[in-house]
Amino acid sequence: MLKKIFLFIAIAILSADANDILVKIDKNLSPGMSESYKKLVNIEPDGTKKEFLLYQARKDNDKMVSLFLKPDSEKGRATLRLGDNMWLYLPDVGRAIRITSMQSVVGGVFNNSDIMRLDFSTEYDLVSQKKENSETVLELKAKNDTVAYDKLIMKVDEKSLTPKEVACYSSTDMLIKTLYYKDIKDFGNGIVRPAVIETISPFYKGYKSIMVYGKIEPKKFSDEAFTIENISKAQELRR
Amino acid sequence: MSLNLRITALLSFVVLGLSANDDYSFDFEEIELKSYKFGGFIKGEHKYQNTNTSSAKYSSINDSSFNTYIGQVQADLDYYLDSFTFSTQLNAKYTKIDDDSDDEINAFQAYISYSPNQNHTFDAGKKSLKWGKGYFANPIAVLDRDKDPSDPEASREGYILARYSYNKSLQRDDLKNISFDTVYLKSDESINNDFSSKPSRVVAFKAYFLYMDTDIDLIYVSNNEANEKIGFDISKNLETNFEIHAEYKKENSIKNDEYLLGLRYLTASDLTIISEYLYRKSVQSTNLALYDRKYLISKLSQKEPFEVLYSTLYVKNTLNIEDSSHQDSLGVIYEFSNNINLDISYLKNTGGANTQFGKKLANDLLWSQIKWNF
Repeated sequence: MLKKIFLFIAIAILSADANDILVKIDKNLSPGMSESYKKLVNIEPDGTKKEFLLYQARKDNDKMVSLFLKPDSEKGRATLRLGDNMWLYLPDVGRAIRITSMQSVVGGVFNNSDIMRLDFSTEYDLVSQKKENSETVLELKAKNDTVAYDKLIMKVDEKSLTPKEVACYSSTDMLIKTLYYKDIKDFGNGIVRPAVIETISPFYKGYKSIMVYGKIEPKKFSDEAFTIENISKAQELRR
Repeated sequence: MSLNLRITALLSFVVLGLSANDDYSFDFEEIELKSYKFGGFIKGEHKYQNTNTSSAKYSSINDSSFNTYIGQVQADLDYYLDSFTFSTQLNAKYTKIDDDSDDEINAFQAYISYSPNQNHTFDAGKKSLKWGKGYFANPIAVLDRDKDPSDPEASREGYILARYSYNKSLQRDDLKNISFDTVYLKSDESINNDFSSKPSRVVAFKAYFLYMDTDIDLIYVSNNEANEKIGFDISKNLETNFEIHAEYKKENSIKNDEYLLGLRYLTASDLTIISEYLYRKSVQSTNLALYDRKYLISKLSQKEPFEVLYSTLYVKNTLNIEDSSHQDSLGVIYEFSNNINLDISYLKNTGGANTQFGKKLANDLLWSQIKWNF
């Protein structure tokens, strides 16, 4: 009996340690309360590009607002994430409507879940951790079926403790897309992380989408900034 | 080298190869804060309509077809000064049906908003409140002009009103957010003269709750004509790709009930299905697009069909259940990279001679719209 208790405690400690690495990765990617500016570029097989500029505010591990600043056709659109709830605000419609994480508000390979991602440790459990060719490889399993991807295989850059590559799989073990994290940059305030995320998908042959972070910095927000009453005023969060 | 490693190396090579020409630059001028926000659109529409010779209105055209041209410009300007925001939305529209033309210029919205913090907001001026959760129709939007179900996302003219809203987030697992709105609206010959047939003073309340991941609104509207209205709406995601919503309104003075049941479903292949059932106890004025007692409206939109990026293929059906007439359309939207989008659709009205869609002047039509956002 004593043996079993020790074994249980050992597994619990190991599991806590294992999840620690995810928490550290999350912390390195973004402070708990922050604002950021990022550019999304969809590149078509013929080289045609479409660019989007986004402002994002986040608080804790369950609140995020995204506001489109460019292009003009999307300007003023905002998305709000509050836990598993996601809403889209269109200026012409004038109110928030519920949307899903698998939808894409920008078209191309990135979907809402990629753009509105909170913490890996909030959505995923660590299943295994191993060393492969001097890289740490993590296998992550979605905590519930509201998460966009059922399984992630993450290669981690050991120096910066940030992702290098994330392969996203469906519940049928089909590869949906692969995200490549690149160009590690010092954003100030102790934030050192990849400034670029590239993605390709077997479903969009020849297409590619890039996310470029321009600015990330800690900023305090009230909880009410992340409510549908205030989603139309997302612009004011930038002030 | 194992097969997996070879594939990984090949993929990395392809990605790195593609990256060589990629633009990782970031223009910081684009994120500079400004004290104002300006935008809008210019839109041109053309409808080629084949005439319904059995329509009572046929004598007004007396031809096998007719054309409608619409030009529209909208400008939105927000100006920020401390806790104040000044918002205006100006809309100009020109319509030409064969030889007859009409034009109108309107301030759809023009109001001042004061938000000392994220909890309190005061609005005064011309504003559209847009209550309700329905996509094609909103029975509880009693202080708004009616939605055009053929273009439910279009901007609408508001009414002159005053509103105070209190908003609070809660640290609870079940009830996460509440907000309370109080609205005052007056109408007579000089102000909001199309709101009511008689002079009226309206006081309305709306309470919002985000309870157990469900949006819930309760409304109460009172005016001096003793025409009280109560209602609610609800919206919830049953699954991440499946949302349901409902609205209900009861009007005491005319003993009318009205409700809407709807769903929005997204398939794995990016097909969005929106379907709504609208019921009301009493038939409304035939000036309204949805005046009869029962309707079923459904729209299926396939995003990026045949892997054509930025395109959407859609079909829509509006069925008047009472008289079995219906309107069906098939269309395609393409969004160009220069903020221009093109929407082309074919629309057909079907029904008996005295039915809502059967008696329309146009039997079928080809509609095209080009819109430039700035």
